[in-house]
This record gives sequence, C-alpha cells and structure tokens, in this order.
Amino acid sequence: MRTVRTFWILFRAQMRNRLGVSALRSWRTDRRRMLRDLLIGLCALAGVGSVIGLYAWMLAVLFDAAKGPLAFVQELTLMAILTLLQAMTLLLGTGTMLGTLYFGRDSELLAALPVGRRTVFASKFAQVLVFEYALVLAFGLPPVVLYAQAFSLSYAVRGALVLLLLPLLPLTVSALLSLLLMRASALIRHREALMIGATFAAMLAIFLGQMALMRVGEDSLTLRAILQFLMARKTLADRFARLYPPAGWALYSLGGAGAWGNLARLAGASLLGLGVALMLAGRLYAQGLAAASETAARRGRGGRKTAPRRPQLVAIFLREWRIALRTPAYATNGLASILMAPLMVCMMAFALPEEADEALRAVRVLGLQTDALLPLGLTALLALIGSINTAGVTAFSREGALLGFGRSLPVRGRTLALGKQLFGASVALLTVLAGVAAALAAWRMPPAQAAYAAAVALAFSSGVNAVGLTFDLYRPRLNWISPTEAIKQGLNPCIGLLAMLLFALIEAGGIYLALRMGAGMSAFLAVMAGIALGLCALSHALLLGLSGRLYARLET
Amino acid sequence: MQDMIALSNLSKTYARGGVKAVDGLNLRVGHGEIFGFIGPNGAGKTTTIKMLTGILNPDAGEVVVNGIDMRRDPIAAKRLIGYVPDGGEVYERLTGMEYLCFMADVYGVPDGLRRERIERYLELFELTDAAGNQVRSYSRGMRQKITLIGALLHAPALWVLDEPMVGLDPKASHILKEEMRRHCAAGNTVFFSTHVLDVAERLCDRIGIIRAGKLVAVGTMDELRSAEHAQTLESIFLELTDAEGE
Repeated sequence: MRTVRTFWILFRAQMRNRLGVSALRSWRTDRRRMLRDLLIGLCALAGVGSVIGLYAWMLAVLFDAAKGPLAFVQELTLMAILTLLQAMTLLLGTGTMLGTLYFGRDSELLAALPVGRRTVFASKFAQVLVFEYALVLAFGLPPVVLYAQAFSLSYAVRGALVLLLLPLLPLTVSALLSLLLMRASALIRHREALMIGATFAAMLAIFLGQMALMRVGEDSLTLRAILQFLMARKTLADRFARLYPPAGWALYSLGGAGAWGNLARLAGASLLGLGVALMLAGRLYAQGLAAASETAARRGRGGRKTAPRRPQLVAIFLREWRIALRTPAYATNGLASILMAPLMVCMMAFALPEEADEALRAVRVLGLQTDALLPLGLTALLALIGSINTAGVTAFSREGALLGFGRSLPVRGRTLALGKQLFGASVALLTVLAGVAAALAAWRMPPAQAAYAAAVALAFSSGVNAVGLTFDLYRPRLNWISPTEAIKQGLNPCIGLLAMLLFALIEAGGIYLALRMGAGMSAFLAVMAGIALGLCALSHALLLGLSGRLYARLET
Repeated sequence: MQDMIALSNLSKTYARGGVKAVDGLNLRVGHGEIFGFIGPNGAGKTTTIKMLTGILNPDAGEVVVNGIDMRRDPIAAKRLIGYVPDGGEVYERLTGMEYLCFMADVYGVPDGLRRERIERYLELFELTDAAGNQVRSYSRGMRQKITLIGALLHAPALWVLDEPMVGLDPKASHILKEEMRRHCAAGNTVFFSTHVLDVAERLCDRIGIIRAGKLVAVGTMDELRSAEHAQTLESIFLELTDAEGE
C-alpha cells in the first residue's frame, strides 16, 4: 500500500512537471497570457484534429464501401491499424523510454530518495504510457468505433479495454529493451554510441521485418488471391494473427466468437510482460542508471588541439550537430528521418511492384502522363519524411536553461536562428539525399527526375522547418527534465506538423488550379516546384525577419 | 573617464508572481575596480547580473557598459563582458576543448591568440588533461573552471562573475583571485556576486549590498564601517539585511 502511495506521489509530481500544470495558475493574473496560450492550444488542436479528422473520414469512407462480400477489408484494416500502432509504440517508445528512464535531470534526485528503484521505474513507465495513449486514442479510436456493427455495452467495454491494453505490451518490450541495453552499456565505454546504434538497428530490423511481411503477402494481393479472400475472408488476418498473436488477440477481442477469451489473452500477456519488466527493473534499473551517469573519459591525449577560427554561424551550426549526435534522445528522435527515407523508398520498390504497375495503368486510363508520376511520388514522399524534423523545429527548446547563458553572448538573434535553421535544413538535405540515392538505385529513376524531386522536397521541408523554428523561438519549451520532452513531447513538434499540413494544402491547391487550367506536365511540375520554392523563401523571410525581435524579447 | 558599469533606475518585475526583483537600482562601477555584490538569497543579485549581461531586459532603467547602452547596441556591449553564470550550466555534450573553441569563435578570437590563451588558462586551472573529454564527465569545480576559461578567452574588459568561487578548490580559488587582481590592475573591472563575505571583504575595492531589490549600501569597506558603525562585513551585512520591513 505504501509502495502504491509512493508511486502515485512520484507519478503525480512528474506529470505535473511535464504538463506544466502550475503554469496555468498564472492565467488568473495574466489574462493576455491566458488568451495567447488558449489560442496556440486551439491552433495545435486544429492542426492535429484536422489530421485525425481526415484520417477518420477516410476510414469511414473505406468502412462504408467495405460491406457485404468485402466486409473482410474492415477486419483487415483494423488489424493493420492495431498492429501498426503497436509497432509505432515499440519503435517510438524505446527512444522515449531510454530518455525518460536514464537521461532525465531528476535521476540523481530520485536516486537519493528513500524509494525503491522499482517504484521509480514504475512511475517513469507510467509517464511514458500516458503519452503513448494519446497516439493510440487518436489513431485507434476511430477504427474501433467504425468497426462496431451496432452499439452495445459489451463492445464499448471491450473496445475501451483493447485501446487501454494496446500500448502496454510493446511498451513493456521497449522498457525491457531499454533495461537490457543500459545494463549492457555499463560494460562498454562508448555507451551513447551503442544506444544510438542499437536503436537505429532496431528501427532497421522492424522495417526489414515489415518488408519481409509484405513480400510474404505479395502473392495474396493478386486478383486470384483477392478472389480467394472473397471465399475465405480471414486468410490474411489469420496469417497475420499467427505471425504476431497480440494483433490477433486485439482484433478478435472486438468481434467474433471468443471475444472475451482473446481479451483475457491480451490482458494476460500485457500484465505478464509488465510483471517481468518490474521484476527485472529491481535488479537492472540501478545498474543502468549508474552507467548513464558515468561518462567515459577519453584515453590518451586526443581532442586537445584547438580548432581554427570559424565564423559565428559555422560555430553554431557545428555545435548543433555535435549535441544532436551525442544525445541519444536527439539522435534517435531527430535524425531517424535520414534512415527512414531510403528505407521507405526501398520498401515501396521491393514490396509493391505489382500494385505500382496497377496504379500506373489506372493513371494512364485517366489520361495522365505516367512519366511524371515517379518524380511526383518521390517528391511527396521525401517532402513528407524531410518535414518530420523534430530536431530542427525544437532547436531553441533543446537548449533548455542554457538559452539564458546564450543570450549573454554577442550573437545576433538572426545569426543564431540562421545557424539553427542551417542545422534543420542539413538534416532535411541528408534525408532527401539518402532517399534520392535509394530511388536511383531501387527505382532506377532517371537522374534528372531524381534531382527535381530532391530540390523540391528540400525546399518544401526546409521551409516547414523554418516555420516550426520561428514558432520555437516565439515560444520555446525550456523547462524540461528529460531531453525527450524537449524534442518530442510538446506543442512545438505539433506546430511543425501543422506547418507541413499547411504547406501541403497550399501545394494541393496550386496543383488543383494547374490541373483545372489544363496545364501540361512540364507546367504542372513547374507549378509544384514554384510553390515549394515560394513557400521556402517566404518561411525563411519570416524566420529571419522575426528572429531578431523574438530573441530580444526572450527571457529565461 | 566614463564608468565601466552604469546602472540607472534599473527595475525588473517577474510578471507571474508580481514580485519586484530589482527596484530602481542605481550603481556605478569604475575602471580598475573589483566590485563585490552581496545580498541574501532572493535579494535580486542574479536578476541584476542578468540585466547587466543582457540576458534579461529591464522593465525600466538602463544598463550602460563602458559607454555602450545595452538596449541600443547589445552586441557591442556583450563583447566587452566575460560572464560566468551561477550553477555551472554549460554545453555538456561538447568536450572542454570544443566548448572553448566555440566560445572563441563566438567572440571572434584569432587563431594564434586563442591557442595561446586556451593553453595558458587550461594549464593555470589544471584542466589540460581533461580538455578532450565531454563536459558532462566533469566535476562541479571543473565545470566552473571551464566556464571561467570560456569567459576569459576574448580578454574582456569587464568580468561579470556570479558566485565564481562555488565549487572551486582552494588552489583554483586562489588563482582566480590573483587573476581578478591582475585584471583590475590593468585598468579593467570585475563585478562579482558572492556569499563568502571574507572573500568580498579582502578582495573588493567597493562592495554593494542589495536587499529586496534595492541597493541598501555601497562603498569601500572603510565607508561601510563608518556608516554602519560595525567592524566586519558580516556584521554590516547582518545589520542591513536583518532590518525587516524597512
């Protein structure tokens, strides 16, 4: 009982700190601040809400069309979403878990308290779980609601329980991986490099696994196989459930015979995993924590040479890269896009060749020229991945308390913002280049088309980064304990996504107008490139125009 | 000759709590002076220093550093200052050498000079062997030393040090005091806050005492003694800062 009370005290204090609840008290005395906070909150909500709304609408259309003999599509879609959510929780949760468990600034404080390590671990695990529920609810609730044939209390209870249990198992796996990784890292000098490398290796393994699964299912996606599906609806879902049972338990908890049994299996596996993690945490957490607090000193006399003089801008740019590469939470969350871009390109090339051919045929029937589809598709893909640049759009927040010290340096706000923007743009550039290199190799894309895709995607994503960075300078989140909070769990990365959505809508509007006006393919490509370059120029002008003033009014 | 520091009617209120941290503070510090700034916790020392170094913008009043208005030309004013913050916050993931080179780049220290100064200060503070390691592996004292070296690399005319002795071992503390004297003997200025009253008493040319955001006393030790009819800085400090409700 006492342990539960201690857990609750720790959990509540950490959540209050993360969410900044006490800052809301200032609303009483500061009306302007209240209105500003509410407005920003509404904007972020509108941004996130529009994405979720669009997603829910698309699902509703799909579920509505998938009736009668095609009803199996509903089941398959739900299965895919539930599995994807679990994979996302595992993938993103590992980085978050590492950051929260081991690299928080409160580690030393908590270690000194008369509280068991298992309780500290549990309170931190619960924190991450709460934030993962946001993802699960946003993308899991719509399909679960749509899947209901008719409202029943039993279905509502099972649906709620499935959503509650869904992130528990993958997050437990993340926690176990983190515990083992940190324990292993205690034996290795370059433990941060190990953690970053291991996380990227895990991402690679998940993507490769996904590709393998898609190749397994490739035969099933032919016309003959679709006919087979119509006769034996659950083929793919069943196959998937056999490959990854928790996805099957989650899916079949929502319908069919033995729903409660499947729910019990899902709950049992999740709780068992959690129990094992808690048990191991008692032994492993302290050792890993000690390892995290130790930093290996360099052997020999390396690294003592003074570097030649560089301009301020270059010094800031290099500092950004060094810190991003040496902080596991920043490297794994912020630089993952460089790895993801070529993987996604390869995945599309190797896993969906027949579907791509079908799509091309369909486009030809519609009278469009297909030779532009490849650069357009690659541009869209790279612009999307390059724009999810959490390291870039949180470059001010990540400074934390040091931003105050930075203000004592004779650096103009404009120079600082430009240095940070160069860092964000260079991450986007590497993402785009890695994606283009993969496309040249895997898609056998003509170099001119690849160059077009690279230029437009870079303009688009660096523009998005400039808008996100401007907002980060306007309202940086400087009070954080774990670096994961600075890069991931806040409003600012959402604003970055909102900027991406806005840019995409403007692009879509321009393309729609170009098509309506009967523009040829060259003109169509030129319009797309022109809009991206225009948005890029505008957003950079916004950043450079406002940065001096925003930096001057910034106080810590 | 103009003052190195001129703070006029300086005020700062923190909006959240409605607390007036600094309230109409006026202070002048000349060239060649070591000025000690003391006061109880929460008296407004760090807020004043943050306004002096351009980190915080004053609500009212002005900060002038060697004739340069901090509000009008903050970059030029900041170039004159070497600042060591309280708490030893420093870029932890950079190595000591990377941090020093970053600071030298920011202040535009030429190649030859930076090498000479970095080597000299690293040796002086016995950090040469640790220069290649990440700052996060440093002890508190080592962090304080690397921050100090970073602040001194561009040979600033004004040193602003917030609790500079905290964490330093006796030898480093002695070296710092010697450097402060040497710096001021060359016509430069040191402005530092401290809670170690003995150090302030022995080292400073003048001392300012702040309480509840207001400067309650300023002068040489002799001036303070005669004004407050007390012998030691400790008794003067207690006398002035214990007076509640004034």
